[in-house]
Amino acid sequence: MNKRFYLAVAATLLLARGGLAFAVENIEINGFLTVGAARSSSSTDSQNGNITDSVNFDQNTRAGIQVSADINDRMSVTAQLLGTNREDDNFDATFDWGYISYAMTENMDIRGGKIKFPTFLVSDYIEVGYAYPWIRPPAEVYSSNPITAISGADVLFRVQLGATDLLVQPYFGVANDQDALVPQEVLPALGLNPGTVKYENFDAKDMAGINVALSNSFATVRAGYLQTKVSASAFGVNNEDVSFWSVGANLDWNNIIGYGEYFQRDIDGMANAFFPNQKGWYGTLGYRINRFLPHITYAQLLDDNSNNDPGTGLEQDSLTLGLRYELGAGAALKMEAERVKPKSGTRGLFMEPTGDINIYSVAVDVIF
Amino acid sequence: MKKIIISFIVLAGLLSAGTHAELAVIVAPSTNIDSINIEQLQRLYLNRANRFPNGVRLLPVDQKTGSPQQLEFARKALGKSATELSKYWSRRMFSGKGHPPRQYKDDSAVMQQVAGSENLIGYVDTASVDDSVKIILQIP
Repeated sequence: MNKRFYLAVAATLLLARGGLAFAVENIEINGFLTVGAARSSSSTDSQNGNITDSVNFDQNTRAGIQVSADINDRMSVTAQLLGTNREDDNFDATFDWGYISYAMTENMDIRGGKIKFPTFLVSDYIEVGYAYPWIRPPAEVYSSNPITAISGADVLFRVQLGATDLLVQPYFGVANDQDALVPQEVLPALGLNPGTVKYENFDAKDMAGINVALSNSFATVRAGYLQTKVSASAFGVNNEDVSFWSVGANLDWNNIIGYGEYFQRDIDGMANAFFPNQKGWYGTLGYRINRFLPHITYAQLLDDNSNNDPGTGLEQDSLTLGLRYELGAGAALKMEAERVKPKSGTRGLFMEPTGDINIYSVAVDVIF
Repeated sequence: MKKIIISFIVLAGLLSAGTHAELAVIVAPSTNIDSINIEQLQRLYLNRANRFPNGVRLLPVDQKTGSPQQLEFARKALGKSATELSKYWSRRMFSGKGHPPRQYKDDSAVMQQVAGSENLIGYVDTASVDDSVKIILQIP
């Protein structure tokens, strides 16, 4: 069995070389672009500094190019370049992810390289605003995993059960040199003033997880579990255990749109000071009326630390009213008004404890 | 006012009835398939399968975005509007899970492609069909 597998891989690599030397067939190039702006009603900024009381285009503006090519019948290469505002305020283009995919059988693909982290429903295409209803996927849930892509391999195993498709996706890998936002509570220990936006490197190793999804023509239900060990040498965080699980579902049925997700993360030792134990959920409902999709989202982020844990729990909830308008096929205009309520005495996802905050956002999403 | 609105609705109905042609789903005469149902067709066209249940490999061929045939096919066979279809493909495409079918400029280009390969499936206006291809489903 092993021998056959290696022979197959060797043969494929040879074929791939041949293919590249002569012609790569079926190259597809696609792109996406989001231009957006947000403004909050408060002088207290969001903890990442991206949403303030002056109109800010930064966080909501990004562009990407995806290139994919079939090398032969069984192999393909896909890569995505992403241009976005990094924490240093410069617009950078980076190689966001890219992998080689090999079809072992009709129903099983193996992918290796830098793969998108399948944590939540829209994680696979989180930069592509056109693909989902909101301007920003609910932060109470989506900010809980700062890693968006991992270096490693996964297997996509598909089973058809009548009109329903089952996807089982185990994955393994590492994510080195990831940016972690240093919590406000940790800043004094680094000799930094409150209100500073500071990112530090951390590594996630021995990562193993699984993503399982059931989908049919109008709904998807998914669940995922992952464990890893995180280290940040600058802070004496060394191989601390992390576990993360999430469930979610979405629906697109007779003009009714629904999304709902829940997550829980548990982080041990000193790493807990940077990533406290948390859980959170959101629910979105929308109703499509021709080109309009009005929608409403309620989201909640909850502290899940016990008294001995070093981290500070952040709690907030938010209510968002949004409207998406289709500007023809391939472009959409979105508007949102969000009211965020940090739990009394905590700072939620802001710089410091504050009263309720309104955030107004507008964005245009295009694919090409 | 009411009368005007009603006559507009009737007029719109007549106009749209006029442009709604019957579509024929076609394969090459030598392809080992004689009929297909809507669900199988959807699976192929939405990239949720690339084989017919009897094992025959079938790649879908599309008409140009915005053409009457394509809009009609999206609505009747796939149950999606043009914008819903475009959102569907954005999710598949940018997550690396497949591409929309290749598009050809008109009925004769689609028929020429399909007639030339046992592994392609396409759709055209029924009125355009000649004996270079085989009809496996009609969508009224």
